[in-house]
Amino acid sequence: MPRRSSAQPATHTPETLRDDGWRAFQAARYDTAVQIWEALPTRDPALKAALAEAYFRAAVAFRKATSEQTRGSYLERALELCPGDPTYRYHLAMHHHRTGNLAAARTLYEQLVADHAPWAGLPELLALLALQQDPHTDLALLPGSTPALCARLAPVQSLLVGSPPAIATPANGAAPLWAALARVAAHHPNAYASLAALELAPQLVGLQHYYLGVAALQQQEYELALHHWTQIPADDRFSLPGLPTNLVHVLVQQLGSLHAQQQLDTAGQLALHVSRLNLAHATLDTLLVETLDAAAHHAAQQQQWDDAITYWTAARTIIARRSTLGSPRTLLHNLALAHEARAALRPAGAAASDWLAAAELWRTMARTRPRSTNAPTAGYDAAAWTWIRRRAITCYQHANATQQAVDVYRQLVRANPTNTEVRMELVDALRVNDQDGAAINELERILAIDPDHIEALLQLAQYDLEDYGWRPDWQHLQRLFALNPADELHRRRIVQLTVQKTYAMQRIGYSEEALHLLQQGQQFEPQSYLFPLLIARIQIDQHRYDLARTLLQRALDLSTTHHYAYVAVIECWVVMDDLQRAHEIWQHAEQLLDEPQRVAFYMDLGHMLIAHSQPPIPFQMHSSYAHGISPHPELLELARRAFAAARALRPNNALLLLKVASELVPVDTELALEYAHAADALAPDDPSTMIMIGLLLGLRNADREARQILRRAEKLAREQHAPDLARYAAQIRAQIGTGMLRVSVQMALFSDFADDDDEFDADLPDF
Amino acid sequence: MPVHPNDPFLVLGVPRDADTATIKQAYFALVRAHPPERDPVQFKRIRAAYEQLRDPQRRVETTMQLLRPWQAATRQRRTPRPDTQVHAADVLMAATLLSDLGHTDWREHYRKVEP
Repeated sequence: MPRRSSAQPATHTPETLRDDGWRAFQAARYDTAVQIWEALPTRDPALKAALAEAYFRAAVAFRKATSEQTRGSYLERALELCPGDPTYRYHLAMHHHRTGNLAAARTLYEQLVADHAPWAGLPELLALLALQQDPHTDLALLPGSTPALCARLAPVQSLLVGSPPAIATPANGAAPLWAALARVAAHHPNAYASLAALELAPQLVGLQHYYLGVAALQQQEYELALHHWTQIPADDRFSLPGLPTNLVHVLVQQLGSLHAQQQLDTAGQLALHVSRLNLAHATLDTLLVETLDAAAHHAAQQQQWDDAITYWTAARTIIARRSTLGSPRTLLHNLALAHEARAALRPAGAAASDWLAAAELWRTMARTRPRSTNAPTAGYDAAAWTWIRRRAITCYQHANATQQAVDVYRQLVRANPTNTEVRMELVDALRVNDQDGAAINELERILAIDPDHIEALLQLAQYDLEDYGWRPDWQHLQRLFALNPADELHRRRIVQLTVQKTYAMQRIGYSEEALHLLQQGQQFEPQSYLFPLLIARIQIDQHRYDLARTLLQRALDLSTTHHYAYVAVIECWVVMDDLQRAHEIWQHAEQLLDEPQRVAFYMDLGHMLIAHSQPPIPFQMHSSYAHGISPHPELLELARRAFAAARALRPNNALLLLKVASELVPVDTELALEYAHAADALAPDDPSTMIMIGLLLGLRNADREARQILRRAEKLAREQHAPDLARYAAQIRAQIGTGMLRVSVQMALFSDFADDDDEFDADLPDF
Repeated sequence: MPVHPNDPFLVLGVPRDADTATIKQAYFALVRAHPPERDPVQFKRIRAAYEQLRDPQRRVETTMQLLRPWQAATRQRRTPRPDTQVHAADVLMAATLLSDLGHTDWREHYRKVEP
């Protein structure tokens, strides 16, 4: 019963309120009329009757908008105001019947029948209720029962008790429907036809489709069954308890068949439609997710990213509503990659939404990481989680939304101030947004929360390498040494940072500090030749040759398969001016390295020997190649031998021959030209080779011929859509016959240092 | 199915959880079978695949950009037998909807009132 409102405007009188209520009643605003009239202090019989009617109409007029509970309370209040009113009692009885309060409904029905209430449907309602309570009820004994009523409901009762209808029913009313359902129950071959022939009221369409599907299923017409079941309206009132089971049964057959025939698009579309029915069945949901995933993979293989995204999104929705299916991680992963792939195919403006979607998905996936480090995360280790975290930032970057990423992560940090993972995400966002100062501050805050945070220390150690690594700051590296993390990737990064940092420190004169760091750092790769080699170099710098020799031997003992280790060790012996030892190691390397490795060995050896054979350029920055160099024709001859050995292994490799030519340019233009011509013979009309020949001819003062060939190279480069090469050819041609040509070549030699990482990571053959 | 056109694991014939030694072994075996002079195209594929996997960091980068098949949390699944019976609940609901309980417009029961 609605509460009597005491909040009435002071200007309203009972008369005006009465009129207000009447106006609301006439406008069919029965709730309002009820509210106004209930608040009146007194009511005469006419008002009481009107109020009761307002309650009644509010209960029955807007069924969908009113809850069953409210409807019931309205009807009870109407009856309270007008006790004994048969209409209100009838509707209250129906309300009880509808809401399952069968005992209360039956009492009211029987009262109404006893009072000879005029509604023709009343005896039928009582009979239906009785059948609900007991399907074996003798309908003839019910109050108000008639032979016609019994005949009409007999087929219903037959269906309820599971026996075929024994009575020949008239073909009117609902009788054809019961007859058709009886045929379905009996697995009659005509069940489908008889049910399909019926034209039923809209509220029965769902039922009809369901049992048409059942009839089709009985004949193993799976596609037909599915067709009907997918026609059932989503808001159908029938419970259809058999639907999920049957859908699963048929879908298993259909999807299995579609899979076997590789019709994954069809399977995916079917699964998509069924998923929208939201049948909430565990086996069905599992099957749907599997099918959607397979269809998505198939679409991805065809680069049909729209479809792939639709399928994986639907699969994700299913998993979200059923936690027993497991983690959504894989789907989030695939969905994020699909968005990225689609973004890559779209123009920048349209792609932004995909990049943002991918960023959000990676972030969501990061949230699925178990908090406990011991919890299993199949297929995702610590490195993978770090990748995910950074990928989110990369996607924000692609969407030109790096500031948005920063804002998002700042909010997350405010909500979780002690969560270091969220702070690391903020660090990533700040870095891509070029806020390195803020990123460093954030890393320091992480260390304040967790002084042993490896990732924060690694990133700060990386920042210590700024300004060419000359900042005398290695506390973060030392802290990492002390913590000695077990993770392989962490250890590898520590090694890389140590190598880079000590390289820089040595160059600016912090040799002893570099030595100390290297000695600490070798615990991370004790079986690597790297650390003994780097320490040996420092010892050579300090003229501690005996120590250097021991270390070089140790480096050799550790490096049986790294060709560059041999090159680096030979280099040290060259610097120490012991060519005999250098020879011995050369021969040793030739015996131990397999063929692909030997080619790379010879090429790198030749490069190194050429660098050391040349005098240093005055005022040039110091480097390991330049340290202690003096003119050395013997080294040059050794370089020629090394290149000849590489050529012997790869006589038909034009790229290798061209590379050798470029190495020999500053030191032996005649031999370089020979190699360049050999490359040209193997791969004619290559602009790069022709540029090399032109350059060499220019260095050998064959200016006219040089310009001719460079002109041809420029033309060819343009025809091959290589504008940079064309420009280079033109630039070299302009330098022919001038001193600039020689200066350019000389500068190129001493700027051609291997990157620190590549120097010790180049264990693969290039040719 | 990978986002990348050539799944390096498939190219080298190793599972996704293969360790570094296994990957290296597979690489050298394939290079011997497909040397660059005899089979330059395949050699390049094999080489490219190895490049993506030999370095732990690159391996993470590669692996994370491969699509993964979804696996259900539990393997146990029974295909239910079909339910071809006519359910009492459906029959009762149909009969109910065909009765006065399915009627929605009750204006004929409205009573004339005057307040």
